[in-house]
Amino acid sequence: MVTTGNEAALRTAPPRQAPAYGEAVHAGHQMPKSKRAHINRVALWMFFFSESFMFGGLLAGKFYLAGAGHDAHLDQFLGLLITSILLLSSVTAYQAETAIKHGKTGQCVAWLFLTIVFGAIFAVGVGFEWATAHFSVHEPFGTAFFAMTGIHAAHVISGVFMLVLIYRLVRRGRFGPDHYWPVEATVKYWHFVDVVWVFFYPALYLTTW
Amino acid sequence: MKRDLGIVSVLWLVLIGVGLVLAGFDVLPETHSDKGADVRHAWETLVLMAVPVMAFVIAVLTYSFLAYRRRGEPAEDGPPHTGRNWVPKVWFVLTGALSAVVIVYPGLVGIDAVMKKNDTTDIVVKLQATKWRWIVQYPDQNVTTLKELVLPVDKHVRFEIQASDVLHSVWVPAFLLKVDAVPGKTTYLEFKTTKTGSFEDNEAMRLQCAELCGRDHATMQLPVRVVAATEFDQWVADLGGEPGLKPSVAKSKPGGHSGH
Amino acid sequence: MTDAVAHAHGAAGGDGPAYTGWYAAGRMARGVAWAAVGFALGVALLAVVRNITGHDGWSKEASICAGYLLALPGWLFGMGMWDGWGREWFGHKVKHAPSDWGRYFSFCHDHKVIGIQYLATFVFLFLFAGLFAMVIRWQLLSPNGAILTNAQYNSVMSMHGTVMIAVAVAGVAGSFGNYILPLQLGADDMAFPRLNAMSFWLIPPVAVLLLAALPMGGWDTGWTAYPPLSTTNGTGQLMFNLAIITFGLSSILSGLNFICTFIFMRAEGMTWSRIPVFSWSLFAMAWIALLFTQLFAVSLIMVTLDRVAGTSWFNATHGGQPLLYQHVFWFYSHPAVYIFVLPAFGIILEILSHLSRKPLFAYKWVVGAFFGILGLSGIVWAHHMFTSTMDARLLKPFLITTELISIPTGLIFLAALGTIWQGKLWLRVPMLFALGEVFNFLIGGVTGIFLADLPTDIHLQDTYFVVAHFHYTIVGGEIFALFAGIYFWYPKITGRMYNERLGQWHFWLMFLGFNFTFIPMFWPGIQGMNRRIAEYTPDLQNINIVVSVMAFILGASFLPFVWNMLASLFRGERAQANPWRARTLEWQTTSPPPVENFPVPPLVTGGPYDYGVPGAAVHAAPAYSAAAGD
Ligand SMILES: [Cu+2]
Ligand SMILES: [Cu+2]
Repeated sequence: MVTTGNEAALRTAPPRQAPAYGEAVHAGHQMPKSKRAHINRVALWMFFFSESFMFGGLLAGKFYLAGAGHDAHLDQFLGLLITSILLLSSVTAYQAETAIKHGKTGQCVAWLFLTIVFGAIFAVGVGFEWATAHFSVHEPFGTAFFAMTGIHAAHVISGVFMLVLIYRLVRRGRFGPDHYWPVEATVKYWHFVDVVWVFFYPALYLTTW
Repeated sequence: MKRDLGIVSVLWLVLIGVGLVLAGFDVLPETHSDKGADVRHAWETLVLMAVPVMAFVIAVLTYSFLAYRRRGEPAEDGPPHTGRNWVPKVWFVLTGALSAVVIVYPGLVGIDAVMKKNDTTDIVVKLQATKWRWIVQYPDQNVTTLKELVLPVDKHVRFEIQASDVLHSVWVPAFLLKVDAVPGKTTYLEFKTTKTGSFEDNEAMRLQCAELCGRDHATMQLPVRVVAATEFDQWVADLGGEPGLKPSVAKSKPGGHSGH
Repeated sequence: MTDAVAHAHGAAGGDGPAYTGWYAAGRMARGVAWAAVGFALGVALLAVVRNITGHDGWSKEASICAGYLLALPGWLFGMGMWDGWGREWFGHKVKHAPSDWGRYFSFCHDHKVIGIQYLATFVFLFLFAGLFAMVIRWQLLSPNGAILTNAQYNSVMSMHGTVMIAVAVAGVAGSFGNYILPLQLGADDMAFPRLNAMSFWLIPPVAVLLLAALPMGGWDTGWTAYPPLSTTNGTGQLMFNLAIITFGLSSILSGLNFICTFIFMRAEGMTWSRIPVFSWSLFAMAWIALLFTQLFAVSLIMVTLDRVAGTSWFNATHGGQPLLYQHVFWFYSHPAVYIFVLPAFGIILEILSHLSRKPLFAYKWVVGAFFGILGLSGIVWAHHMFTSTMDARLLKPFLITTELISIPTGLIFLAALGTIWQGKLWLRVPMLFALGEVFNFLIGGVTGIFLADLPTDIHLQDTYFVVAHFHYTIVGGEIFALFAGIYFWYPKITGRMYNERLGQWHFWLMFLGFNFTFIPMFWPGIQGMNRRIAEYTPDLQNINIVVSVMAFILGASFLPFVWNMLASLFRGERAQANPWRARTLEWQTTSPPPVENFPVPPLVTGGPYDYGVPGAAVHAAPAYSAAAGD
């Protein structure tokens, strides 16, 4: 007996309702919205999983190169300040997401604005830290410090950039309780960048020999 | 089925025979160090273990290829063995046992052998690797040379290796040993010379850089000579050094095939 | 392109404007223009920043980095990502890609188009880097080097290695992963079609950067780029770094896409135990690409920072640690071997089952083995560092984990042998390549034991033994599977049958040429020929001449292949939908498939490999019953 399993019907059946080339035939536009959102969400988490390998590699590199410990000349006050501001910005980002879920566009705009301001302050704070650092990029701790804060700051800046884009779109009323995935994704990204700092900050500022 | 198994078994045994004959050829370079002999044992053991495994796969593959081939498109399907039974389990256990053996011997046992520190050190040689040459120093004999590496036979040797620019690697094929030279730290290679010989007779008697280090990596090499102790003293004297070995000097220093 | 292909893809014009291929060419030019603008902008911005922060002078390499950072998005957005995706972010409507042949040169979302883009690109790159291999073998005809200076040799060798590694990473997964995975799963596309297009269009900049390195003197570190050599050599190295980081990004995004497609895009009834083994292998592979590739990027970012920003990750005079690089680098680059061979295993097991007319033997064990390999691959990296003078306490653990990988790999062999055992072997070209792969990988695997075992590795590390070994795993294990896949799916992709006779010539020339090149190559390695050298000791000349001559035969074997592929495209016999009478879903639609893949969504009702199983249900049927309501 030959079982090939090829069902001629699969090939000869009349085509579905005139599938247009391009966007319209693509998965995202055929599957139910809830499924699309689910896939997006999972993918975003997997992206974070992937990124955490990069940050983990940097963290491991820091301990390999410079050991536990930090430079005595670090500006602890500034470090604590910008860390607090970044943590605060996660709260405001969360508020923005909640607001748009409830359709409160005005509130969302306000919270997003605050988040952008906090993010910008953090980035400027890192810049200030760099400008006033008493250690050199050539030494092991300096290498780890500048590389890690630099790569993290690049993520912060890209996050601010995304927040600005979202801010514009929210103001134009493009999102509502039934469609807020771009807001949610940006906010989740922002949280992720925050969480990374929660690991970087103690490694760079608090650990001792 | 029985016939298939029978023929494959015979084929397997024949291939094992062929493999064992091939394994009899000595492919490693002539060995001039004690740890090189350990490497040799490890090699020979692995070859012996590999022969039946490779013979089995090749036997089944060849037999299937020849016996089950069809002219043109097969008219019917083969027997539906899906393997959801004892075969994969047995296979799993067998391969597991085999790799356990390989891990223990020559693996873990071999590591202890080739990483072992010398009990005494008769002669210390400092090897400085720099693009693209070797600087050879004998601190106890007060000799430095760029031309060749000369060692007395039957003596415990310690290389103290440093790199001044990029990674290099110390490899003497006839010693069957290798260790990297890493900028910023000193690395060590300890062994005992076991046989005289020279680059002129055997091109494996050379100190070859084995870690890509830029333009002239290929020619970053030095002839190696293992000679009788008297000849070594003569060589040292000719270079204006202080002949004689000072075994006690290096005894308390760290050794082994590793860095610090 | 044949009219069959053009018909199947181009039938549906859709509501978008009817673009021509010339439109695509214009987009391409726009991408290049925007890349140039981005580059200039990046350089200028850096100059401003340096001025403000009081750095005087001009830094060539930092400027290149800054320029490239903006040139890359310039290229992507200019060449179609803006039209097809980015407009949406700013609240505009997106525009469609062309629907005629121009789509192959466009930011097209169709997974089949992207699969073909990958396949054409990487087969071309394979042949290109193969020419470099011919140059290498020509050089080694003489112990003093026949044609190249030492510096030229290092560049040629590095280019060969790097491009071939890229081919190995994306050649199989990018081509067949994209083309076949959605078809096998019964989906109409990948989970993220636009991200998929972006993954592909990140590749051309990689190729451009690597080529741009040549006039700068190339790079002389091989593909491994060990510092401090890679932090102190010429600017060609920077091109390499940027290229590989970009390539890594592409790889990560593909991995993400494969995983989501595998989990979420399966047709109704495609339960875990009904998924074809090639799809499984891609799923396992994708995790490696998604997670470990980041460390590859990290290692090269560190090198780049040492070069342009004055950090001292690896600069020993300032307390840097050269060995750190090797840990980070191999943390990715060992698992990368399984990015190469997992999909290759998938392809050959697929073909062995279909063309032996037998169920895949030990299917569930194979899937388990894929995940065993995936898990173990992350904890074996330091076996590349047995002679690197890392902490001696690490030696034994890494020896143990490395040897353990032979257990899941052994299960793959069991599946291959069990599948052909007592089968009805249909020895067409894909089947020959699949059987050849099993033989080659056997040698690759067994010689791997010698390198995983420290006592032998201490002699063999960095010799031609290693070179022969990894060519057995990568060429013998993966590239053979790539060609198996090309012949197997050629009728599906093009709608035409390849020429069987030419294909057989290709196989035998390649199989014999390959084995007679690389079996003898073990010998000089054992005898004392280290790798990556432009010159060697005269006692090894004879064996090197043998290797070189055989390598030229291996190189010549691709001539019938190229001719076969091109000629069959126009003159090949028209292919049926299912020339192999295979059960899996990609064969249950036309050759080539229509844009939407399956006119009626499939309903999966049985296993993919139940050949000869009495009373087995078909693998898939149209989902009429489900859709009966409409
Ligand atoms: Cu060197
Ligand atoms: Cu490895």
